[in-house]
Amino acid sequence: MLRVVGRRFSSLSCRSAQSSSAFLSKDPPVNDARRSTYSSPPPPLTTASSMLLNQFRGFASNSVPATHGMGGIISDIPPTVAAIQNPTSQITYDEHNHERYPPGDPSKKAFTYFVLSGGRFVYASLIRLLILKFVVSMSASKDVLALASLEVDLSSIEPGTTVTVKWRGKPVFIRRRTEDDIKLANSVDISSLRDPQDDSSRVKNPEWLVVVGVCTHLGCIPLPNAGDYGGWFCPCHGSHYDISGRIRKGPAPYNLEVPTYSFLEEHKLLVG
Amino acid sequence: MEYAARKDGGILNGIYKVIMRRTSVYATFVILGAFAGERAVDYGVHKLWERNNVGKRYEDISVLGQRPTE
Repeated sequence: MLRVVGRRFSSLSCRSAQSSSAFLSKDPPVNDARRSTYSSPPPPLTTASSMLLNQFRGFASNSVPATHGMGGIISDIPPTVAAIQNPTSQITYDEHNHERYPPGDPSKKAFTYFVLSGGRFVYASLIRLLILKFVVSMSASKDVLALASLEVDLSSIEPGTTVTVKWRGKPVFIRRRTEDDIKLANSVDISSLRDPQDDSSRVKNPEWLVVVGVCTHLGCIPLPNAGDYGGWFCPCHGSHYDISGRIRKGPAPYNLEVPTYSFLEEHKLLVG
Repeated sequence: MEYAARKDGGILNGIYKVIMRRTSVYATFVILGAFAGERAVDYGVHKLWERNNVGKRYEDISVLGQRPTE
């Protein structure tokens, strides 16, 4: 840093060749008498010379001792002009709250950068935290998650009957199928179906059929134990579903949806 | 000056030369450092909290899991 300034100094001023070389050599600290004479940088001027002066801002050459050195003649040269005319290597800075290192000290650049890095760690963590908090606040809340799954007691369902439970705002049909129902569901030619699905791929236990009670056509609720195939019939546009919940007749494009469910223990079903 | 720099801030200057030459490397360093620091602070504060609240946590309840006898 100091060397860069010194280089600039020498390139701008023709007289500073010897002073900039002295600048690089190890100088004793500037004495106090000089420091007290002129310790603040020159004020910026509005004339054309201010451009030149800006190059020297920050280090002042000491004008008063220089004028005294001219044989005691009291001249009224302004301090700025005197400073320009007498470049010196004994530069004094304002040190009242920022003490200078002795000349020739290595720079503390790496240390400064690492202190800044520590701050940036904190900022990065803070930004990550704020973004995550905001994004997660838009996801499902606890009360929604609490309604996500439903436990059903199966012990009171007779064979051949369908029970409708409410799950996530939609009806879920739970049908306890008889042996005849299972045989009927398995006797269907898979390739003739619109949405070819094996009955065994739609149930976990053949005795229990669990399907979401929403018609895949336009979202009506099909009626159980109705229609041409003994399963469900949607009254809105006449879709017929069979005993496995598969679409057989009507405009619906897919089979009735099977939710994710599992059998917890005997006579306990967990939907969701 | 170079010699003095190597003698004084040797470690810092060495790491500086490795990490802070490229902005991409430095940004990676900041992200990794933030993550590691977050983990470290989290762990430390958790340990401190546990030490100040021994026996008061939910897992410390001795009758946990026992249904009240009617």
